[in-house]
Amino acid sequence: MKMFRRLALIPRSLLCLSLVAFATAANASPLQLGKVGPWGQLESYEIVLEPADQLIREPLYTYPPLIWAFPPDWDLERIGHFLTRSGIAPAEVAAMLESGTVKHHVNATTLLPTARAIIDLNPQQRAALYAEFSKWGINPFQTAPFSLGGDNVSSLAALATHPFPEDFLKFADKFVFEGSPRNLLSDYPLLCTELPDEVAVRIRFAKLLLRSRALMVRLRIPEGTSLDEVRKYWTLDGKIESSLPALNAAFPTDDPAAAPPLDLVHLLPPLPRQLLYTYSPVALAVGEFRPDCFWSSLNFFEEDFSQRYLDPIVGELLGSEWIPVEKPYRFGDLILIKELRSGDAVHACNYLADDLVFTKNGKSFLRPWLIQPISEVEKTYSVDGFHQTAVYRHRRFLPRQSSSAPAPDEPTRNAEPPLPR
Amino acid sequence: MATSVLFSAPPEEDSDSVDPAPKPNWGKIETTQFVLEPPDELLDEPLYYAPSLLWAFPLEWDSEKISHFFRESGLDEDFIEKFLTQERILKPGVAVGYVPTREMVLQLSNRQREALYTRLGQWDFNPYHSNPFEFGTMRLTDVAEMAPHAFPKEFISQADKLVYQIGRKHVFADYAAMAGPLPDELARLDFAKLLLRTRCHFARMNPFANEEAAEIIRYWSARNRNLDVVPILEAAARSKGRDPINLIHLLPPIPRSLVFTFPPPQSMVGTKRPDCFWTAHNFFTPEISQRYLDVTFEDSDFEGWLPIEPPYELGDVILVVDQANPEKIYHACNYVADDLVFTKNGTSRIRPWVLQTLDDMKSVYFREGETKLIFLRREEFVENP
Repeated sequence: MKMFRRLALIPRSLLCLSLVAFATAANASPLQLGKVGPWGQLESYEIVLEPADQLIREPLYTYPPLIWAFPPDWDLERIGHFLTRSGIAPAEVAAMLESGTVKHHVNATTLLPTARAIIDLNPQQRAALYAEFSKWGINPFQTAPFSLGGDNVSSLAALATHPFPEDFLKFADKFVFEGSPRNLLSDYPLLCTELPDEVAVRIRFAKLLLRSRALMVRLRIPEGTSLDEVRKYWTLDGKIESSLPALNAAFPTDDPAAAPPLDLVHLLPPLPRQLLYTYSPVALAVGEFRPDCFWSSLNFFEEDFSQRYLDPIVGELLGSEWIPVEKPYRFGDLILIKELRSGDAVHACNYLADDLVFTKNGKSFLRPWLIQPISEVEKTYSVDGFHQTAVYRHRRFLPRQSSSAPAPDEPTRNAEPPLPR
Repeated sequence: MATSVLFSAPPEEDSDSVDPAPKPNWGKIETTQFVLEPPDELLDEPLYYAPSLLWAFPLEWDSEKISHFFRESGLDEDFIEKFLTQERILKPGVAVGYVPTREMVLQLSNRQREALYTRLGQWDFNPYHSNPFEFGTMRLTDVAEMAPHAFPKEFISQADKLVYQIGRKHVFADYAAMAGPLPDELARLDFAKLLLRTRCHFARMNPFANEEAAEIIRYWSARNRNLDVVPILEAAARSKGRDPINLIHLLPPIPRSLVFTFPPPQSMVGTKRPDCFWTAHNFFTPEISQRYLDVTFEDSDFEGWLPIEPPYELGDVILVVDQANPEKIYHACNYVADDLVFTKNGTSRIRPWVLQTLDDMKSVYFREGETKLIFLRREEFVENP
């Protein structure tokens, strides 16, 4: 079946893509110097990660099906009413139902939506319609949409080189809608019809949509900073010494300010060091459970991965192993973003220093482990008035008298939003 | 075990030229030398902070037997007589020892020191002799010069005179004689750290042109055994003119988590600790495999590996073997790129995992005319074996 029938919404002349000669050259991101603190001073610059081709080379991305699926027991009348109530023009609904593309399968009834129906949805209608689609679990791009965080397609494209014309990107922006977390995109199959019919091009587009902003971070010891204080910070007062040899070697006591900066990866415990800037290998999954933000955060100081953190046990551990703390935060502190109403945790990450965190934004294999500012993470997961941030420290890093705390008022459950891509 | 295949026709390595064939493109690598010292927690033992100057013998030995021992080690009667009048210490159930004076220790000739200490080292109850500080082909002065330290030149010079050889290795066993008189525990620990220095390298890959990206990614992907690094390399290719990439980001997960660290206490399995063979075998494993610490696992077991010619690739195993008897393996490590290796030089917890130059590794294990290098690759990755 030929999946792609170009809609000619974008003139072909603009779609001469060369995957070798990139259309836009991105400037190198500037070096940012952070605040001086007990950690020393961090300098950072942004990098943009995309998953490797091998992770995208599957039919969902290379030959994305442009279909809408409904529960198998829905007849044409019911589908028609549903689509009309969703805001699709009656003429388009009729066109879809009369097109002869409706098919009945064991687990779904599917039809080929018209491009006009998809294009004409406003963002609110799109969000509502796709929220319904996502409940049934049979519309893969609505169940697990591309999660763009605070970005749209154009701003993601602007982060680094890419081969897509400006017009195509502006067109793609029309299909971004607000969801949880933040901006989402489900109309990947339709957008692929606007691209040259080549697998390599679709993979390139999927990778662009899956871009993650990350920071490359290095430590400096400015003049006047106490090297001892810095050591204490990164070793949690000597309780975690694995990074101390490299720290001591990089910054000689006589003139640490003159030493070149040290990549922060040297100061991370073994597991985050192993994972940083990588994508989750399939081998880490247990059945349908994949390493997510909770697994990552709870494993931060572990010598070996504990797969018990694939279970939703954050609530059990708060108050027993992890104790609430106030600022100033310390290296490795567990940051939870919780829903105000239910108390459910929607995201977890670990504090590093100077408001930078180690985070995995999603359980998808297509989301890497990275370092980001906490503000970037909050932009993705937190809405003012609906979420709050709470910080916890592992009991072994607390003075003995404060290592126990009253149990939280409400149990906190892992409630990661439905699978963004 | 395929050792006969392994060692029947090893490629002869000229110690001055490791890799004469055209090199694959691993990018432009810059290195900065530095010196790693063990953290205080690993030296928090009386052995280091409160050393005892003691020469011990089996419990049942009497003066006659001890005298005979000294004569065989080349010591004269005056020395023996004086020694046997020194303070005698009994370690119940273990050994009987005498405390030589510092002067007695310092006055030993090189030959006497080598003979005596080698023989004292046959017993574990002489810890400084059975497990001396090792410097490979370097002297103690070379180790001191690696990085700044607080010890006077004369002190280092005097300690250097006490270095002797076991085979071709330079070793030092007079820690107690030199560290004992130091003013406090901190000073003694600083001295121990100096003796335990390891020279290694931070390394980074300079920015590369887009045209080189495919070749560089191909090298570091290591024939699809190291695909984790593809995203970071692609990010570097996209971000034109950005800063170098720390090479640690290009290593497979296990070496990435270990490099420039010391083994934690829980790394032991029974009495066995991760050594160079454990390290070399675990280079590409997604999770640490402790089978390489099994008592049934032979360190020399490289079944399924074949000897190879240059150019070498990420993860290739380098063996330092006896020239006359190649089945005697002294060391194993992994090739990284540009003659950098990932290595753990010893079983001890006070020997870290490091990135070193091949030359630095050879300074510890390689002896011209007595040893040679063999490079190995998994047979499924060897073209035209």
